[in-house]
Amino acid sequence: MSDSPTEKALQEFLSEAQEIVEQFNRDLLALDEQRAAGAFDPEVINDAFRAVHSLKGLSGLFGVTRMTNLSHNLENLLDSLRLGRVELQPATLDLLFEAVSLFNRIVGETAAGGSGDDGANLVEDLIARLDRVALRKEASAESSPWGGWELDASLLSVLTEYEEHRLRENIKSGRSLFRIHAAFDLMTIDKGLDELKGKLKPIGEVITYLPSAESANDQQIELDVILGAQAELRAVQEAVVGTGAVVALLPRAKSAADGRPSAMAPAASATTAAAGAATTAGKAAKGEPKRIEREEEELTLKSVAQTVRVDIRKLDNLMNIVGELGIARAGLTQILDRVKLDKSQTKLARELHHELRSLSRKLDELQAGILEVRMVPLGQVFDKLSRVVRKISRDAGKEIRLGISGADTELDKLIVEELSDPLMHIMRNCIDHGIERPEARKAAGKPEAGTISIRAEQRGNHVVIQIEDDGRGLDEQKLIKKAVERGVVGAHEARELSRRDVHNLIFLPGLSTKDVADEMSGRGVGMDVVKTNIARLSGIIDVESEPGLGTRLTLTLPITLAIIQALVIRAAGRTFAVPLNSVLESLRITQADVKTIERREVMSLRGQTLPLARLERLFRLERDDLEGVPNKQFVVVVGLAQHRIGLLVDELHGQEDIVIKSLGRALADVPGIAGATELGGKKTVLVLDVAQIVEEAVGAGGGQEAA
Amino acid sequence: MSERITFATEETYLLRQDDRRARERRGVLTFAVGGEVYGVDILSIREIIKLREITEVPRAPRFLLGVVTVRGLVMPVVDLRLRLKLDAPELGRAARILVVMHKGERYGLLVDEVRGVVRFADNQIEPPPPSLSPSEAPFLAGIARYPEAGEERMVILLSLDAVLGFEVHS
Repeated sequence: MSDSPTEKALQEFLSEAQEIVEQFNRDLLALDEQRAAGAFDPEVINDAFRAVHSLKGLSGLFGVTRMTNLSHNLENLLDSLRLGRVELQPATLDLLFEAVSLFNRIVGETAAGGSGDDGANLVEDLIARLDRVALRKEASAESSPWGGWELDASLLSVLTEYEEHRLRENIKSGRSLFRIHAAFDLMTIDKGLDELKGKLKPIGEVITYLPSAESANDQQIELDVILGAQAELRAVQEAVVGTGAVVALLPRAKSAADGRPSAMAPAASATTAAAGAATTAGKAAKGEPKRIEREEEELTLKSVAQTVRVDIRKLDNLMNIVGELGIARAGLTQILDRVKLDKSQTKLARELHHELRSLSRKLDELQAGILEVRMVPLGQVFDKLSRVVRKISRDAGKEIRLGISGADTELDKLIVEELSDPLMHIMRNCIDHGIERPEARKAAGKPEAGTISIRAEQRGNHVVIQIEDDGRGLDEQKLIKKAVERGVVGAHEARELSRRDVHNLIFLPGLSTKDVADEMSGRGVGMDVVKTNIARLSGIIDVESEPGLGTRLTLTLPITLAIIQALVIRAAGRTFAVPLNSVLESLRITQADVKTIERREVMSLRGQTLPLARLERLFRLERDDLEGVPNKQFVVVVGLAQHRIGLLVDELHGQEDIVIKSLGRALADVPGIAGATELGGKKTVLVLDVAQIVEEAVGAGGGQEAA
Repeated sequence: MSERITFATEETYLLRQDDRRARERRGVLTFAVGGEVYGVDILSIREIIKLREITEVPRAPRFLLGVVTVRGLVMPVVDLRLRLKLDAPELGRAARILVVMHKGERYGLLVDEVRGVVRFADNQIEPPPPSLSPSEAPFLAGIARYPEAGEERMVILLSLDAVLGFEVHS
């Protein structure tokens, strides 16, 4: 297997790269939000810059040239943004978001071992466009030099471009500039400076600090810190009280707009000058690139110390071992039962019982602990979604407000991964088909911007995710018409469908997209695919809709797939496990309860007709026992997504916690079987895939006849 | 003292490699299936277990007997007699399941009896004869002859790629 050190290192690089890209994405989302609000935090651009810078370094180490090139050019653009050479336009953000997708693609292709030649063109293309933006000369900044502040030429000549830009920004937003002169001991200058900056941070932005020309003695370094703050001189003086620093307001020229006489400002000591203003978002901007790198190193060190990246397969392996321990525990319990029978061994039995109980408790804790490690917040997917929503809505020419709550709700890593595609499809459907064009919305008396809200919350052992839009709702008439045309529902039947049934028609293959998609963006994705994917995760999807008001999809998912509770049953002489989360109830019936409608077995359950299915028939199993179907039987009512059926079984063996294991690549696609699990006594038992069985049982009868 | 340096050309390099390969002796686990002796590379064998209850998997091909769990891992078990379309006499007490690793996954191979390990050089292996029946031919990687107790023996080397190269679809 691929365990060579380089391979391992590459894997680590890829997962780290992915994390950085995700961070970069979050920075961009924050910028987008701030841009819309009209003021952005320079620190966020710096963060984005740092992220891309790390990517460049990392990918260079691993020879992923495409990533290095892309990062390098992105760095240029971000640098221009940082320095205010380029203004942050929506189009520029689009380019940056495009880079995120491209990074993800490169990571994916590298992981798959491909060099991805087609991707290379995309990289080049994006780089060309990035460069065009990065080189675009900014328009306005040069026109108003220093807003009336008298700034010394010797100061301006030593400012880095970034510092100069921040200086301009601060002046533009009308803040006052202060010079703080402080002396530091040579040995402790780092500490002293940090302390001073810490005190200044709450009131303004430290734009730069420069060594003062007036050197006092060899043991000390004197610095001039230049601060921008929306504050009075006195406030700044109070902030630095006790540090021995001297604060001065920088002088303004007589022509200054506010007409403040320059005499009021203590004369700056000619050699240095200072400028300042409060930051737009309260954080002090960091200095030139060198300092940025230093900070980045600190950040990396910190994260290494606190978290460990683990291959999910290793956790699977641990889970496996815990499963084995559970079987060993069951074995011990049986031994205990035998020991108990021996009256001469009561003391031994008691001790064994005691030890077994504490073993049990610890084992449960261990199991819970491992499950917890596998949990990741849904926010990981939601971040990706916001990016996609942004892009789709721009493409579709619709304005969308996305509200997200419950991003910290946690689910098993595997489920979160598998959720991203279905959620993406749902979003696309919401935007393409749900939300109307702005004109139509206005005409309907709705706000022009459509709202999509995603809410996630934990309910017991499940997580419920609701996606709600305030669009036009489902077109019931059209759905029925389509269903009849496709022969899914008979014309007669169609009239008797409940509204819920009509809404659920969108989950049938070929019904949700085609026609509707043609008149829209043509990008519709079948909701049947979404449903299949959700069902694969043992999840349930439900839809509610109100014409003109909107549509709500509700996904209910188990928190983890690793360990599930299952009902152990026997049918046709074989033992199977049925995941308990899809079991609604189980009942005892006699042969007389089973009726047939059009040669399909059904029974009536509380006034409703419940289709029945026999595993031996579905799986074409031969009965081992000669007496055939026993008269007394059990029905396990299972339901998934929209449908429910009753499984006819011979015996119920009770519930067990099981670890579902894959049957391996060769058998992965056997329909109706989700995997296998080991019960006590080295017995391997198949776990039913209820979603597929329900589908098959329903599909085999219901729809076809209408065609 | 001047030493003349000769650079290896690609050709000489390949020749040397051939040479080395020919000298290297390969270990093959031999076993009996349906009256014939077969072998697979010993490096692909993970363990050999006694017959145990095999859980039948519906909708799988007939040669796939089902799955077993070995040390917590579930794996499909292939009945080699059925897979190779040989006669299938009753399984005796000597029957074993060979656990093999193939492309990162484990599989069980049901055999009538395990014989032992034989080592031979690559150049002792012949390509499979063309006269074989078409049903069996794709599974064979070659035939090796080796002397044992003064007699020449023959073992048919199986191609795991072919034996395990099946997929089950709906």
